[in-house]
Amino acid sequence: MNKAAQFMLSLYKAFVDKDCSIAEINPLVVTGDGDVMALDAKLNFDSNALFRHAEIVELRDLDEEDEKEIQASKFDLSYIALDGNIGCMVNGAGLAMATMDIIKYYGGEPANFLDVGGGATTEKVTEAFKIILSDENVKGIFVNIFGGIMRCDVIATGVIEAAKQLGLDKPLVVRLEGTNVELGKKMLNESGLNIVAADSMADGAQKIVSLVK
Amino acid sequence: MSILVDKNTKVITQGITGKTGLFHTKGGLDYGTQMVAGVTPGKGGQTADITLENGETKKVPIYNSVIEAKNATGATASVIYVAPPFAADSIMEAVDAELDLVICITEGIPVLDMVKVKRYMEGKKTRLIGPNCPGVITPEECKIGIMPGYIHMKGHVGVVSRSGTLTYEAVHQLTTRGIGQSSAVGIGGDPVKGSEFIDILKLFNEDPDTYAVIMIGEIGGTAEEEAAEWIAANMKKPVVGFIGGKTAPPGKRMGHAGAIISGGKGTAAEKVATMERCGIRVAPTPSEMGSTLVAVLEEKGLLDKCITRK
Repeated sequence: MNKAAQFMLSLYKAFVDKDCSIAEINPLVVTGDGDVMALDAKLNFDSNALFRHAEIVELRDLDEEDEKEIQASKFDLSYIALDGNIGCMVNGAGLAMATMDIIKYYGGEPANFLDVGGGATTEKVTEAFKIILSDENVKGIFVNIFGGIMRCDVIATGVIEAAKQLGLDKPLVVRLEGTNVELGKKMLNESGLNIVAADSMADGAQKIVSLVK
Repeated sequence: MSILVDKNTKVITQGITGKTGLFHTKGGLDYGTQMVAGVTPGKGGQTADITLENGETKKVPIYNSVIEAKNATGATASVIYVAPPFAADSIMEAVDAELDLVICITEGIPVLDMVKVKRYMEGKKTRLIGPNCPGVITPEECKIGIMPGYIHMKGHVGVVSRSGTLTYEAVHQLTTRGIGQSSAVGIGGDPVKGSEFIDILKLFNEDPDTYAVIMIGEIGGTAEEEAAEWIAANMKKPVVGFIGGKTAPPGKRMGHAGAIISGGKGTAAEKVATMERCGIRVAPTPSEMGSTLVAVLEEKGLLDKCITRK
Protein backbone atom coordinates (compact mmCIF):
# COMPACT_ATOMS: atom_id res chain seq x y z
CA MET A 1 0.00 0.00 0.00
CA ASN A 2 2.77 2.45 0.92
CA LYS A 3 4.53 1.74 -2.33
CA ALA A 4 1.39 2.48 -4.33
CA ALA A 5 0.93 5.81 -2.52
CA GLN A 6 4.56 6.69 -3.14
CA PHE A 7 4.09 5.78 -6.79
CA MET A 8 1.04 8.00 -7.20
CA LEU A 9 2.74 10.95 -5.53
CA SER A 10 5.63 10.56 -7.96
CA LEU A 11 3.22 10.41 -10.87
CA TYR A 12 1.61 13.65 -9.68
CA LYS A 13 5.02 15.29 -9.33
CA ALA A 14 6.01 14.20 -12.83
CA PHE A 15 2.69 15.54 -14.21
CA VAL A 16 3.19 18.97 -12.64
CA ASP A 17 6.95 19.25 -13.19
CA LYS A 18 6.74 18.40 -16.87
CA ASP A 19 3.50 20.31 -17.66
CA CYS A 20 1.64 17.19 -18.74
CA SER A 21 -1.86 17.25 -20.12
CA ILE A 22 -2.21 13.47 -19.77
CA ALA A 23 -0.19 11.01 -17.69
CA GLU A 24 -1.73 7.62 -18.16
CA ILE A 25 -0.37 4.33 -16.83
CA ASN A 26 -1.75 1.11 -18.15
CA PRO A 27 -1.03 -1.57 -17.03
CA LEU A 28 0.12 -0.97 -13.49
CA VAL A 29 1.27 -4.18 -11.81
CA VAL A 30 2.28 -5.45 -8.40
CA THR A 31 5.19 -7.83 -8.75
CA GLY A 32 5.63 -11.09 -6.86
CA ASP A 33 7.87 -9.41 -4.29
CA GLY A 34 5.43 -6.55 -3.71
CA ASP A 35 6.85 -3.82 -5.93
CA VAL A 36 4.52 -1.44 -7.81
CA MET A 37 5.56 -0.99 -11.39
CA ALA A 38 4.34 0.78 -14.55
CA LEU A 39 4.59 -1.53 -17.55
CA ASP A 40 3.47 1.08 -20.05
CA ALA A 41 2.64 4.77 -19.98
CA LYS A 42 1.36 7.54 -22.19
CA LEU A 43 2.34 11.14 -21.53
CA ASN A 44 0.97 14.16 -23.36
CA PHE A 45 2.54 17.57 -22.82
CA ASP A 46 0.99 21.03 -22.88
CA SER A 47 2.40 22.55 -26.07
CA ASN A 48 2.05 26.03 -24.53
CA ALA A 49 4.54 25.03 -21.82
CA LEU A 50 7.23 23.57 -24.10
CA PHE A 51 9.25 26.80 -23.87
CA ARG A 52 10.35 25.69 -20.41
CA HIS A 53 11.01 22.04 -21.30
CA ALA A 54 13.77 21.90 -23.88
CA GLU A 55 14.39 18.28 -22.86
CA ILE A 56 10.90 17.32 -24.05
CA VAL A 57 11.12 19.29 -27.28
CA GLU A 58 14.25 17.26 -28.10
CA LEU A 59 12.20 14.08 -28.02
CA ARG A 60 9.87 15.30 -30.77
CA ASP A 61 9.87 12.85 -33.67
CA LEU A 62 8.76 14.62 -36.85
CA ASP A 63 8.38 11.28 -38.65
CA GLU A 64 5.40 10.59 -36.44
CA GLU A 65 3.55 13.72 -37.52
CA ASP A 66 1.58 14.79 -40.57
CA GLU A 67 3.96 16.56 -42.97
CA LYS A 68 1.45 19.28 -43.78
CA GLU A 69 0.87 19.95 -40.09
CA ILE A 70 4.64 20.32 -39.54
CA GLN A 71 4.92 22.73 -42.47
CA ALA A 72 2.00 24.74 -41.14
CA SER A 73 3.50 25.00 -37.65
CA LYS A 74 6.66 26.56 -39.16
CA PHE A 75 4.57 29.47 -40.40
CA ASP A 76 2.52 29.74 -37.24
CA LEU A 77 -0.56 28.41 -39.02
CA SER A 78 -2.90 26.09 -37.21
CA TYR A 79 -3.68 23.24 -39.63
CA ILE A 80 -5.34 19.87 -39.17
CA ALA A 81 -5.75 17.43 -42.06
CA LEU A 82 -9.18 15.87 -42.62
CA ASP A 83 -10.63 13.46 -45.19
CA GLY A 84 -12.74 15.69 -47.45
CA ASN A 85 -12.07 17.55 -50.71
CA ILE A 86 -12.79 21.20 -49.91
CA GLY A 87 -9.76 23.07 -48.62
CA CYS A 88 -10.53 25.81 -46.08
CA MET A 89 -8.58 28.91 -45.18
CA VAL A 90 -10.09 30.93 -42.36
CA ASN A 91 -9.03 33.46 -39.73
CA GLY A 92 -9.82 32.48 -36.17
CA ALA A 93 -10.18 29.02 -34.66
CA GLY A 94 -13.91 29.34 -33.93
CA LEU A 95 -14.71 30.59 -37.41
CA ALA A 96 -12.47 27.89 -38.95
CA MET A 97 -14.41 25.17 -37.12
CA ALA A 98 -17.73 26.76 -38.03
CA THR A 99 -16.63 26.93 -41.68
CA MET A 100 -16.02 23.18 -41.72
CA ASP A 101 -19.44 22.69 -40.18
CA ILE A 102 -21.24 24.83 -42.74
CA ILE A 103 -19.53 23.05 -45.64
CA LYS A 104 -20.75 19.75 -44.24
CA TYR A 105 -24.22 21.24 -43.64
CA TYR A 106 -24.54 22.03 -47.35
CA GLY A 107 -23.43 18.54 -48.37
CA GLY A 108 -19.66 18.98 -48.82
CA GLU A 109 -16.68 17.52 -46.98
CA PRO A 110 -13.93 19.76 -45.55
CA ALA A 111 -10.34 18.70 -46.33
CA ASN A 112 -8.82 20.54 -43.42
CA PHE A 113 -9.03 22.94 -40.52
CA LEU A 114 -6.82 25.96 -41.10
CA ASP A 115 -6.60 29.08 -38.96
CA VAL A 116 -4.30 31.71 -40.50
CA GLY A 117 -4.54 33.80 -37.34
CA GLY A 118 -5.12 37.47 -36.84
CA GLY A 119 -2.11 38.91 -38.63
CA ALA A 120 -2.18 37.06 -41.93
CA THR A 121 0.41 38.51 -44.29
CA THR A 122 0.72 37.80 -48.02
CA GLU A 123 3.48 35.32 -47.18
CA LYS A 124 1.31 33.48 -44.67
CA VAL A 125 -1.65 33.32 -47.06
CA THR A 126 0.63 31.95 -49.79
CA GLU A 127 2.02 29.29 -47.46
CA ALA A 128 -1.50 28.40 -46.38
CA PHE A 129 -2.49 27.90 -50.03
CA LYS A 130 0.59 25.73 -50.65
CA ILE A 131 -0.25 23.52 -47.71
CA ILE A 132 -3.90 23.17 -48.69
CA LEU A 133 -2.93 22.33 -52.29
CA SER A 134 -0.33 19.77 -51.24
CA ASP A 135 -3.29 17.62 -50.20
CA GLU A 136 -4.12 15.67 -53.38
CA ASN A 137 -7.75 15.23 -52.37
CA VAL A 138 -8.45 18.95 -52.54
CA LYS A 139 -10.73 19.83 -55.46
CA GLY A 140 -11.57 23.39 -54.47
CA ILE A 141 -10.80 26.02 -51.84
CA PHE A 142 -13.07 28.14 -49.67
CA VAL A 143 -11.48 31.23 -48.14
CA ASN A 144 -13.58 32.68 -45.33
CA ILE A 145 -12.17 35.77 -43.69
CA PHE A 146 -13.77 38.14 -41.23
CA GLY A 147 -11.23 40.92 -41.46
CA GLY A 148 -11.71 42.78 -38.24
CA ILE A 149 -8.47 44.49 -37.51
CA MET A 150 -7.00 43.02 -40.70
CA ARG A 151 -8.10 44.87 -43.83
CA CYS A 152 -9.89 43.00 -46.61
CA ASP A 153 -7.77 44.65 -49.33
CA VAL A 154 -4.64 43.22 -47.69
CA ILE A 155 -6.19 39.77 -47.65
CA ALA A 156 -7.34 40.13 -51.24
CA THR A 157 -3.76 41.03 -52.23
CA GLY A 158 -2.51 37.91 -50.46
CA VAL A 159 -5.07 35.67 -52.11
CA ILE A 160 -4.38 37.09 -55.59
CA GLU A 161 -0.59 36.86 -55.16
CA ALA A 162 -0.83 33.30 -53.90
CA ALA A 163 -3.19 32.20 -56.67
CA LYS A 164 -0.91 33.72 -59.31
CA GLN A 165 2.29 32.38 -57.81
CA LEU A 166 0.91 28.86 -57.51
CA GLY A 167 -0.94 28.89 -60.83
CA LEU A 168 -4.13 27.92 -59.06
CA ASP A 169 -6.34 25.87 -61.39
CA LYS A 170 -9.01 24.76 -58.93
CA PRO A 171 -12.24 26.53 -58.00
CA LEU A 172 -11.69 29.23 -55.41
CA VAL A 173 -14.54 30.83 -53.49
CA VAL A 174 -13.71 33.83 -51.32
CA ARG A 175 -15.94 35.33 -48.68
CA LEU A 176 -14.60 38.57 -47.26
CA GLU A 177 -16.19 40.66 -44.57
CA GLY A 178 -14.90 43.57 -42.53
CA THR A 179 -12.78 46.66 -43.07
CA ASN A 180 -12.47 47.76 -46.73
CA VAL A 181 -14.63 44.85 -47.89
CA GLU A 182 -15.81 46.61 -51.08
CA LEU A 183 -12.24 47.36 -52.13
CA GLY A 184 -11.22 43.76 -51.41
CA LYS A 185 -14.07 42.34 -53.50
CA LYS A 186 -13.31 44.74 -56.34
CA MET A 187 -9.67 43.65 -56.37
CA LEU A 188 -10.68 39.98 -56.55
CA ASN A 189 -13.13 40.67 -59.37
CA GLU A 190 -10.59 42.67 -61.37
CA SER A 191 -7.71 40.25 -60.82
CA GLY A 192 -8.54 38.30 -63.95
CA LEU A 193 -8.37 35.15 -61.87
CA ASN A 194 -11.16 32.64 -61.64
CA ILE A 195 -12.27 33.68 -58.17
CA VAL A 196 -15.90 33.45 -57.09
CA ALA A 197 -16.89 36.08 -54.56
CA ALA A 198 -19.43 35.13 -51.90
CA ASP A 199 -21.68 37.44 -49.89
CA SER A 200 -21.94 35.38 -46.72
CA MET A 201 -20.61 32.20 -45.16
CA ALA A 202 -23.70 30.30 -46.26
CA ASP A 203 -23.47 31.64 -49.80
CA GLY A 204 -19.76 30.77 -50.01
CA ALA A 205 -20.25 27.28 -48.62
CA GLN A 206 -23.06 26.53 -51.09
CA LYS A 207 -20.98 27.85 -53.99
CA ILE A 208 -17.86 25.81 -53.23
CA VAL A 209 -19.92 22.67 -52.59
CA SER A 210 -21.59 22.95 -55.99
CA LEU A 211 -18.28 23.77 -57.73
CA VAL A 212 -16.46 20.65 -56.54
CA LYS A 213 -19.34 18.31 -57.34
CA MET B 1 -26.56 50.19 -18.95
CA SER B 2 -24.28 47.39 -19.94
CA ILE B 3 -22.09 44.85 -18.20
CA LEU B 4 -18.47 44.96 -17.01
CA VAL B 5 -17.40 48.18 -18.75
CA ASP B 6 -18.88 51.54 -19.70
CA LYS B 7 -17.83 55.06 -20.65
CA ASN B 8 -16.49 55.72 -17.14
CA THR B 9 -14.14 52.72 -17.09
CA LYS B 10 -10.48 53.71 -16.84
CA VAL B 11 -8.11 51.14 -18.28
CA ILE B 12 -4.44 50.23 -17.85
CA THR B 13 -2.57 48.38 -20.61
CA GLN B 14 -0.15 45.78 -19.20
CA GLY B 15 2.58 45.30 -21.79
CA ILE B 16 2.00 48.69 -23.45
CA THR B 17 5.48 48.94 -24.99
CA GLY B 18 5.07 45.74 -27.02
CA LYS B 19 3.85 46.00 -30.61
CA THR B 20 0.46 44.40 -29.91
CA GLY B 21 -0.13 46.31 -26.68
CA LEU B 22 0.63 49.62 -28.34
CA PHE B 23 -1.47 48.88 -31.44
CA HIS B 24 -4.58 47.97 -29.47
CA THR B 25 -4.14 50.77 -26.94
CA LYS B 26 -4.40 53.06 -29.93
CA GLY B 27 -7.48 51.12 -31.10
CA GLY B 28 -9.09 51.66 -27.69
CA LEU B 29 -8.27 55.37 -27.68
CA ASP B 30 -9.61 55.77 -31.23
CA TYR B 31 -12.86 54.19 -30.05
CA GLY B 32 -13.09 56.61 -27.15
CA THR B 33 -12.03 54.27 -24.36
CA GLN B 34 -10.24 55.87 -21.42
CA MET B 35 -6.87 54.17 -21.80
CA VAL B 36 -5.25 56.08 -18.93
CA ALA B 37 -1.95 54.30 -18.32
CA GLY B 38 0.42 51.58 -19.34
CA VAL B 39 2.64 49.22 -17.38
CA THR B 40 6.02 47.91 -18.47
CA PRO B 41 8.48 47.10 -15.68
CA GLY B 42 11.65 49.17 -16.09
CA LYS B 43 10.04 51.79 -18.30
CA GLY B 44 8.22 53.72 -15.58
CA GLY B 45 8.34 57.48 -16.07
CA GLN B 46 8.31 57.30 -19.85
CA THR B 47 5.22 57.88 -21.98
CA ALA B 48 3.78 55.98 -24.91
CA ASP B 49 3.11 58.64 -27.53
CA ILE B 50 0.22 57.52 -29.69
CA THR B 51 -1.03 59.39 -32.75
CA LEU B 52 -4.74 58.80 -33.16
CA GLU B 53 -6.76 58.54 -36.36
CA ASN B 54 -8.01 62.10 -35.82
CA GLY B 55 -4.43 63.39 -35.81
CA GLU B 56 -4.32 64.09 -32.09
CA THR B 57 -1.34 62.73 -30.12
CA LYS B 58 -1.96 61.13 -26.73
CA LYS B 59 0.84 60.72 -24.22
CA VAL B 60 -0.06 57.66 -22.16
CA PRO B 61 2.04 57.53 -18.96
CA ILE B 62 3.97 54.32 -18.30
CA TYR B 63 4.46 52.90 -14.79
CA ASN B 64 6.65 50.10 -13.45
CA SER B 65 3.79 48.32 -11.72
CA VAL B 66 0.01 48.00 -11.85
CA ILE B 67 -0.45 49.34 -8.33
CA GLU B 68 1.49 52.53 -9.21
CA ALA B 69 -0.59 52.97 -12.36
CA LYS B 70 -3.81 52.43 -10.42
CA ASN B 71 -2.88 54.86 -7.64
CA ALA B 72 -1.85 57.55 -10.11
CA THR B 73 -4.87 57.31 -12.42
CA GLY B 74 -7.78 55.76 -10.54
CA ALA B 75 -8.04 52.98 -13.13
CA THR B 76 -10.29 50.03 -12.24
CA ALA B 77 -9.54 47.71 -15.16
CA SER B 78 -6.54 46.40 -17.04
CA VAL B 79 -5.92 44.61 -20.31
CA ILE B 80 -2.96 42.24 -20.70
CA TYR B 81 -0.90 41.83 -23.88
CA VAL B 82 2.11 40.34 -22.11
CA ALA B 83 3.90 37.33 -23.69
CA PRO B 84 2.71 33.86 -22.54
CA PRO B 85 5.62 32.98 -20.18
CA PHE B 86 4.96 36.12 -18.10
CA ALA B 87 1.21 36.59 -18.55
CA ALA B 88 0.15 34.56 -15.49
CA ASP B 89 2.35 36.77 -13.28
CA SER B 90 0.80 39.84 -14.88
CA ILE B 91 -2.69 38.62 -14.01
CA MET B 92 -1.67 38.01 -10.40
CA GLU B 93 -0.08 41.45 -10.22
CA ALA B 94 -3.37 43.01 -11.33
CA VAL B 95 -5.22 40.91 -8.73
CA ASP B 96 -2.80 42.12 -6.04
CA ALA B 97 -3.50 45.71 -7.10
CA GLU B 98 -7.20 44.95 -6.45
CA LEU B 99 -8.47 46.02 -9.84
CA ASP B 100 -12.15 45.19 -10.46
CA LEU B 101 -11.58 43.71 -13.90
CA VAL B 102 -8.65 42.14 -15.72
CA ILE B 103 -8.92 41.14 -19.36
CA CYS B 104 -6.16 38.87 -20.63
CA ILE B 105 -5.82 38.75 -24.41
CA THR B 106 -2.61 36.66 -24.45
CA GLU B 107 -2.87 33.30 -26.21
CA GLY B 108 -0.61 30.40 -25.26
CA ILE B 109 -0.38 30.52 -21.46
CA PRO B 110 0.52 27.08 -20.01
CA VAL B 111 -2.55 25.40 -18.54
CA LEU B 112 -0.88 24.72 -15.19
CA ASP B 113 -0.01 28.43 -14.89
CA MET B 114 -3.70 29.21 -15.22
CA VAL B 115 -4.56 26.56 -12.62
CA LYS B 116 -2.29 28.45 -10.20
CA VAL B 117 -3.84 31.78 -11.16
CA LYS B 118 -7.36 30.43 -10.56
CA ARG B 119 -6.41 29.21 -7.10
CA TYR B 120 -4.65 32.49 -6.35
CA MET B 121 -7.76 34.47 -7.30
CA GLU B 122 -10.08 32.59 -4.94
CA GLY B 123 -11.64 35.04 -2.48
CA LYS B 124 -10.12 38.08 -4.22
CA LYS B 125 -12.25 40.89 -5.62
CA THR B 126 -10.87 40.89 -9.17
CA ARG B 127 -12.81 39.38 -12.06
CA LEU B 128 -10.74 37.89 -14.88
CA ILE B 129 -11.91 37.62 -18.50
CA GLY B 130 -9.81 35.35 -20.73
CA PRO B 131 -7.06 34.45 -21.40
CA ASN B 132 -6.93 33.84 -25.16
CA CYS B 133 -9.90 36.09 -25.79
CA PRO B 134 -10.77 39.15 -27.91
CA GLY B 135 -11.84 41.23 -24.89
CA VAL B 136 -14.99 43.10 -23.88
CA ILE B 137 -16.87 45.90 -25.60
CA THR B 138 -19.81 48.04 -24.63
CA PRO B 139 -20.64 49.62 -27.99
CA GLU B 140 -20.16 53.35 -28.36
CA GLU B 141 -18.74 53.56 -24.82
CA CYS B 142 -15.75 51.37 -24.13
CA LYS B 143 -13.70 48.89 -26.15
CA ILE B 144 -11.08 46.82 -24.35
CA GLY B 145 -9.35 44.30 -26.56
CA ILE B 146 -8.69 43.44 -30.16
CA MET B 147 -12.19 43.38 -31.68
CA PRO B 148 -13.03 45.71 -34.60
CA GLY B 149 -15.08 48.46 -32.97
CA TYR B 150 -16.98 49.67 -36.02
CA ILE B 151 -19.06 46.49 -36.50
CA HIS B 152 -20.77 47.08 -33.14
CA MET B 153 -23.82 49.18 -32.38
CA LYS B 154 -25.33 50.21 -29.05
CA GLY B 155 -28.42 48.26 -28.07
CA HIS B 156 -29.98 45.48 -26.03
CA VAL B 157 -28.60 42.09 -27.05
CA GLY B 158 -25.75 40.57 -25.04
CA VAL B 159 -23.18 38.37 -26.75
CA VAL B 160 -20.93 35.89 -24.95
CA SER B 161 -18.54 33.57 -26.77
CA ARG B 162 -15.50 31.30 -26.57
CA SER B 163 -14.41 32.42 -30.04
CA GLY B 164 -13.27 35.85 -31.20
CA THR B 165 -14.14 35.67 -34.89
CA LEU B 166 -17.50 34.00 -34.23
CA THR B 167 -18.32 36.88 -31.88
CA TYR B 168 -17.58 39.31 -34.70
CA GLU B 169 -19.69 37.19 -37.04
CA ALA B 170 -22.65 37.27 -34.61
CA VAL B 171 -22.28 40.99 -33.87
CA HIS B 172 -22.09 41.77 -37.58
CA GLN B 173 -25.24 39.75 -38.27
CA LEU B 174 -27.03 41.71 -35.53
CA THR B 175 -25.82 45.17 -36.53
CA THR B 176 -26.73 44.66 -40.20
CA ARG B 177 -30.27 43.83 -38.99
CA GLY B 178 -30.41 47.02 -36.92
CA ILE B 179 -30.10 45.11 -33.65
CA GLY B 180 -27.62 46.73 -31.28
CA GLN B 181 -25.64 45.07 -28.49
CA SER B 182 -25.52 45.91 -24.79
CA SER B 183 -22.09 44.33 -24.36
CA ALA B 184 -20.10 41.63 -26.16
CA VAL B 185 -17.80 39.45 -24.08
CA GLY B 186 -15.19 36.98 -25.37
CA ILE B 187 -14.49 34.56 -22.53
CA GLY B 188 -11.68 32.89 -24.46
CA GLY B 189 -10.67 29.59 -25.99
CA ASP B 190 -8.50 28.14 -23.22
CA PRO B 191 -9.61 25.23 -21.03
CA VAL B 192 -8.86 27.06 -17.76
CA LYS B 193 -10.11 30.62 -17.79
CA GLY B 194 -11.21 33.42 -15.52
CA SER B 195 -14.90 33.62 -16.38
CA GLU B 196 -17.23 30.95 -17.70
CA PHE B 197 -20.50 31.36 -19.60
CA ILE B 198 -22.52 31.27 -16.37
CA ASP B 199 -20.58 34.18 -14.83
CA ILE B 200 -21.39 36.38 -17.82
CA LEU B 201 -24.97 35.14 -18.22
CA LYS B 202 -25.63 36.16 -14.60
CA LEU B 203 -24.51 39.69 -15.41
CA PHE B 204 -26.66 39.88 -18.54
CA ASN B 205 -29.61 38.50 -16.56
CA GLU B 206 -29.25 41.31 -14.02
CA ASP B 207 -28.64 44.07 -16.56
CA PRO B 208 -31.94 45.88 -17.19
CA ASP B 209 -30.76 47.03 -20.62
CA THR B 210 -30.08 43.53 -21.96
CA TYR B 211 -33.24 41.90 -23.37
CA ALA B 212 -31.77 38.76 -24.96
CA VAL B 213 -28.45 36.93 -25.24
CA ILE B 214 -26.50 35.04 -27.90
CA MET B 215 -24.20 32.39 -26.44
CA ILE B 216 -21.56 30.93 -28.76
CA GLY B 217 -19.79 27.77 -27.66
CA GLU B 218 -17.61 25.14 -29.23
CA ILE B 219 -16.43 21.59 -28.69
CA GLY B 220 -14.48 20.66 -25.55
CA GLY B 221 -15.36 20.72 -21.87
CA THR B 222 -18.85 20.98 -20.40
CA ALA B 223 -19.25 24.75 -19.91
CA GLU B 224 -22.12 24.96 -22.43
CA GLU B 225 -24.05 22.15 -20.75
CA GLU B 226 -23.59 23.74 -17.32
CA ALA B 227 -24.68 27.10 -18.71
CA ALA B 228 -27.74 25.53 -20.36
CA GLU B 229 -28.87 23.99 -17.06
CA TRP B 230 -28.31 27.31 -15.34
CA ILE B 231 -30.32 29.12 -18.01
CA ALA B 232 -33.24 26.70 -17.66
CA ALA B 233 -33.31 27.31 -13.90
CA ASN B 234 -32.54 31.04 -13.69
CA MET B 235 -32.51 33.04 -16.91
CA LYS B 236 -35.33 35.51 -17.33
CA LYS B 237 -34.36 36.45 -20.89
CA PRO B 238 -34.32 34.45 -24.13
CA VAL B 239 -30.99 32.89 -25.08
CA VAL B 240 -30.02 31.78 -28.58
CA GLY B 241 -26.99 29.58 -29.11
CA PHE B 242 -24.49 28.25 -31.59
CA ILE B 243 -21.90 25.50 -31.19
CA GLY B 244 -18.85 25.28 -33.45
CA GLY B 245 -17.06 22.03 -34.25
CA LYS B 246 -19.80 19.60 -35.33
CA THR B 247 -17.37 18.16 -37.88
CA ALA B 248 -14.26 18.21 -35.67
CA PRO B 249 -12.48 14.85 -35.39
CA PRO B 250 -12.09 13.49 -31.85
CA GLY B 251 -8.72 13.84 -30.09
CA LYS B 252 -7.56 16.82 -32.18
CA ARG B 253 -7.13 20.28 -30.73
CA MET B 254 -8.95 22.62 -33.10
CA GLY B 255 -6.82 25.76 -32.81
CA HIS B 256 -8.09 26.74 -29.37
CA ALA B 257 -6.38 24.91 -26.51
CA GLY B 258 -9.79 24.07 -25.04
CA ALA B 259 -11.43 22.91 -28.27
CA ILE B 260 -10.88 19.17 -28.13
CA ILE B 261 -13.16 16.15 -27.92
CA SER B 262 -11.41 13.87 -25.45
CA GLY B 263 -12.54 10.43 -24.37
CA GLY B 264 -15.70 10.95 -26.43
CA LYS B 265 -16.69 13.94 -24.24
CA GLY B 266 -17.30 17.50 -25.29
CA THR B 267 -18.94 16.86 -28.66
CA ALA B 268 -21.08 19.46 -30.39
CA ALA B 269 -24.01 17.02 -30.59
CA GLU B 270 -24.09 16.59 -26.79
CA LYS B 271 -23.95 20.34 -26.24
CA VAL B 272 -26.68 21.15 -28.76
CA ALA B 273 -28.94 18.44 -27.30
CA THR B 274 -28.55 19.76 -23.76
CA MET B 275 -29.06 23.35 -24.85
CA GLU B 276 -32.23 22.53 -26.79
CA ARG B 277 -33.57 20.50 -23.88
CA CYS B 278 -33.03 23.58 -21.71
CA GLY B 279 -35.04 25.81 -24.03
CA ILE B 280 -32.21 27.45 -25.94
CA ARG B 281 -32.79 27.79 -29.68
CA VAL B 282 -29.56 26.71 -31.42
CA ALA B 283 -28.70 28.11 -34.85
CA PRO B 284 -28.06 25.29 -37.35
CA THR B 285 -25.23 27.18 -39.07
CA PRO B 286 -23.01 30.12 -38.10
CA SER B 287 -24.73 32.15 -40.85
CA GLU B 288 -28.03 31.87 -39.01
CA MET B 289 -27.11 33.18 -35.55
CA GLY B 290 -28.73 36.55 -36.35
CA SER B 291 -31.84 35.16 -38.04
CA THR B 292 -32.39 32.61 -35.24
CA LEU B 293 -32.30 35.41 -32.68
CA VAL B 294 -34.72 37.49 -34.76
CA ALA B 295 -37.17 34.56 -34.92
CA VAL B 296 -37.03 34.11 -31.14
CA LEU B 297 -37.38 37.85 -30.47
CA GLU B 298 -40.42 37.97 -32.74
CA GLU B 299 -42.08 35.09 -30.90
CA LYS B 300 -41.44 36.81 -27.57
CA GLY B 301 -42.62 40.19 -28.83
CA LEU B 302 -39.20 41.70 -28.18
CA LEU B 303 -38.04 42.41 -31.71
CA ASP B 304 -39.20 46.03 -31.89
CA LYS B 305 -37.57 46.80 -28.55
CA CYS B 306 -34.28 45.30 -29.77
CA ILE B 307 -34.11 47.14 -33.09
CA THR B 308 -32.08 50.21 -32.30
CA ARG B 309 -31.65 51.42 -35.87
CA LYS B 310 -34.48 51.14 -38.41
